[in-house]
Parts: sequence; C-alpha cells; structure tokens
Amino acid sequence: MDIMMYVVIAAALALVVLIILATKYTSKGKGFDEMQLVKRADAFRAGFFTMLGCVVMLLILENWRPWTERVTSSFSLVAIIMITMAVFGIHCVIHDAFFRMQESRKLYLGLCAAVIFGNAMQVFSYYRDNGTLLQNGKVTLDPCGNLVTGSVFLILAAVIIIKMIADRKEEKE
Amino acid sequence: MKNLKLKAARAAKDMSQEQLADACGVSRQTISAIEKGDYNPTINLCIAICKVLGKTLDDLFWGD
Repeated sequence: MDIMMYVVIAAALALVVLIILATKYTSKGKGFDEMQLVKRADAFRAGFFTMLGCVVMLLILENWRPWTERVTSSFSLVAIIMITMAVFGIHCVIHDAFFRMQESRKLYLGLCAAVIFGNAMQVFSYYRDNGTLLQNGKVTLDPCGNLVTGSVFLILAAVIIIKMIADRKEEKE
Repeated sequence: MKNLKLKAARAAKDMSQEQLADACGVSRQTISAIEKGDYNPTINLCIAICKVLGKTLDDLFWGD
C-alpha cells in the first residue's frame, strides 16, 4: 500500500471527525426524546447480546483448527465490533431512534459515503496489488477488515434511505 | 391500542404530527407512535400534549 493511500485514508478520517464535530455543535441543541431513549436502550441491549453471542462463538471457533488456519483473531474481533454496531444501528434506525431531533440525515449519509469510499479504495488497492483479498491464504484485518467495515456502513446507509422513503410516505398520509 | 382521540383532537386543531411534535418538544415519530398505540408516553408528555391541544388527560388518554 503506497503512501498516497495512507494520505487518502487520513484525509477521509479527518473529514469524518470534522463532520461529527460540525453536527454536534451546529445542531439546535435537541437531543433524543423519551421514546427514542427507550428504543436506544433496547438497541444497546440487542447490540450487547449480539456481541456476547459472537464472542462466545469466537471462543469456540478459536479451538477449531480449520478456523484458525483461515481467519486471524484481529479480523474476527473487528468483525464482531462491526456486527454489533450494525445490529445497534439498524435497530435504532427502524425504531426512529438513530437520529437526534432535527439532525440532518443527509449529512450522516454523506459521512457513510465517505467511510464506504475510503474502505472500498483500500480494498480495491489491495486487490489490484495482490490479486487476492487474502494474506498468505488467511482472512486478515487488511483488507478484509475494510471490506466488513465498508459493508456495514453500506447496509446502514441503505436502511436509513429506505426508512427516509417510508417516513415521507407516512408524512403524506 | 390506537389513540384515535388524540388523532381527532390534533385534526380538529388543524395540526400536523410534525407541528404537534415541535410544540411538545418531541419527534414526529413519537407522536405517530402514540397515535398508533405503539408507545405509551410519560405523564409529562401527556400533559404537554393536552396543553397544546387544549384538552384534559381524560379527553385524550383515559376513559372510553
């Protein structure tokens, strides 16, 4: 991976941080309402038990040679984190508890697009250089971690867009 | 259970869910969920809704 790719990734991360800070300080000061807090608590619980289940499964798989020969622990841990985030995020989006009141969905979708793009570039660059996504026949953090991260943000963005369309239809009724 | 009394009171005031939500300091989806019967609001939110719509708690949330 050449130095330019690191520069691109660093720039993308800096952009993500700036967008988060901008959203935080330019919002109209409204947080989550009472229903959203209840739904977020449910989402945290779902995420927690998902993570717990994945960790237990990983502990079992780590004692199974065909798994350890093909998948590294670092990738497994990142995959668990991303799956947990996906469960939490999707649960929140479905129950209208992901965004604060009057928070911009479009800004967040832009953030998702930046993350998806950065990770996709990383995956593409690795595949272009090596002709495979595996390192020595193993699923590793680089670039498979990027693949998982990009996929999770893509799924989250898709769910947000579908919810936005459904909400618009509901508002018209 | 759906809260049709709330929906009727809101319609009588010619208010959208968004307007009622803004007036009560909650999201539109919360008002929608209350009307559909998917969420039971706290007493504070019930009181806030009643004040905005000019109704009593009995009118909107209790009784038949």
